[in-house]
Amino acid sequence: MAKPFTLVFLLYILYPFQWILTKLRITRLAQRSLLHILAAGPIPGHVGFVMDGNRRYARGKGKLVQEGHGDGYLALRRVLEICLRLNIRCVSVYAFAIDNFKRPQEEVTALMQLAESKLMELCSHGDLLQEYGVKLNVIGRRSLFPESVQTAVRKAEELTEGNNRSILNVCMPYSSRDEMTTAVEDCIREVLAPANDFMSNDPIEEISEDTIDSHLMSVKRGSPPLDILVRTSGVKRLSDFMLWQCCENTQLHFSNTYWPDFGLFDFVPIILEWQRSVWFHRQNVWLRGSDSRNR
Amino acid sequence: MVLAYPFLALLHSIYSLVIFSISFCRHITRPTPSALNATRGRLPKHLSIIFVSDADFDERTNEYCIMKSIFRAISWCQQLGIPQLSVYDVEGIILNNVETIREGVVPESPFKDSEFDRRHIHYPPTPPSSDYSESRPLSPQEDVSGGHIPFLTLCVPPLQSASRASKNPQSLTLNVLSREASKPAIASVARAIARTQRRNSKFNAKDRGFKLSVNNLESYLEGKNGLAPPDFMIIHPVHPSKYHRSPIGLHGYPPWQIRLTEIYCNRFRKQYEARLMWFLPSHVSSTLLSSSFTEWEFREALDQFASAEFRLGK
Repeated sequence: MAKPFTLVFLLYILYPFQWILTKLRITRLAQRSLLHILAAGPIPGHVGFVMDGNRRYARGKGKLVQEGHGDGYLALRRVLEICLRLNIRCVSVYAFAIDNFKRPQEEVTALMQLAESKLMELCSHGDLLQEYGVKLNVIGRRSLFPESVQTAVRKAEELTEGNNRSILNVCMPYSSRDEMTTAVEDCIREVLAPANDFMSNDPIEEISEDTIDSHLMSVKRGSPPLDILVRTSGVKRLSDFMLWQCCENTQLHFSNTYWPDFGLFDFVPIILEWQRSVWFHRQNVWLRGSDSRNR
Repeated sequence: MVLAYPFLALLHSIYSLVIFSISFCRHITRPTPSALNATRGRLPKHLSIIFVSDADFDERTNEYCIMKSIFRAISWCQQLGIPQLSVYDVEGIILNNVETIREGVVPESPFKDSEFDRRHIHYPPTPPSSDYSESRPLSPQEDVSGGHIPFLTLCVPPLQSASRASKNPQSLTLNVLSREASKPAIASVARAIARTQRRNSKFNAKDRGFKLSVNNLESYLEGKNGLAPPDFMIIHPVHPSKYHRSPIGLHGYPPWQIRLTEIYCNRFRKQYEARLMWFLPSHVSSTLLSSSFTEWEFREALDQFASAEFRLGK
């Protein structure tokens, strides 16, 4: 029942405002000004996106599923540019789950082709990642990909290896349980290495949650702690994405918008709420600090 | 950048107005959830509730609200036949009050059968014993570092009314979790696996290197001695947020188990009364604004779970 009122707000206030801006050809300028204003406040260091809803978006518009994924890629570029303009240092996106190999072969093949072509496009000279100095990390069990995709992934990572302003983690094919298992496996291998057979502290007892954290694929490649996780399409689950990273000190945001429709006006409220939480927490921390000093 | 601050303040003010309008409309048009015992397409088999308390407020109020919420949740789960309930809070308030829960849910009579009044203490899960005769299986005490207990399980007997009505009344399994059942438990399992592997590798010179599969680690963390994954999770902030809507966070809940868990959080709890937080002393606002989990919220949560669609990657 709240939907009609939201619809009224969108139809009579937001969309006409957007139409006016488009007609005056100052949309891009207005968007950049808005991002510049937002960037004056606290900004999260690491934002993750579960890019969900491409197929339902396509079905809703009468398009093919492959076209939905293509529009999803455009949304990724759009949101990535927004994040980079806001100086968000690390962005992680859930591009393909290990479970997604269960999908119809035709769709999986189309996704592989999309990944192969768009990865190179993103990393090519003059394009988004090079413009903003973004290093590309492909996180996941890439041995499950066809050889051509693995080659494209290697080349794309090599092209952006020298960039150091920001990080883009494209998680594919990814599963958080696989990431946690690999981290535990690496920890155990490290402590059982022959060089560790010494008489002082048993290295096995040194395995702690911090040790496992440092061995996660994303953390090993420079990702800071996850501050915000956004899941689109109205689903309120994590679906095996960065479970270890987001179970603590991460704000979860579930947006009803399908991923190809996700844009600036969906992301701005998330940043505004983040800023309020940081300001409030800092105020709380300051008050607690002043109380302890006065005792 | 300095010039942007006034515009940022203006932006936040506009956002506040927009949120106030939308939430007011939502408040007056919010649909009433289905009745507690209404037929729903799906009910969770394992429900988990995360209680979020605010350290700025009175500890006793936090305890009171959480305990009351747990007793209510136990009663509703028993009425609906939900077989397993896990309760979690990051500060360990529930664990400190587990005796209160046990005294509250075990009736005085007639169920004195020990089958219905059992208290299980679960240690970190141990790997299976080695195939080599020279090695010995790990005992639970070896895996418990510093005497940590990952989680407690209580077997709550069925309601007397349900036991008369039904031929097979079901008891409720109540898991009481703290942060120790979360990432520290995974680290503990890693240490135990490493010890076993070290023992095994001394007897097998041809060992080609250690490999751990997802299914293997899953059997330790979710298996017979582990914690089952919840189908559904409710996040209950004891106090409303001071800035509009309560943020959704998992506060350190065990990460391995929440892969496919549906999440519910009533972010609009007492959002208008929360304005009073800024004007009243904390001990007054703590009493006025804290609240236990309500039946209305529970019914709304169940409606959300019943309408959720699971595609499992397909």
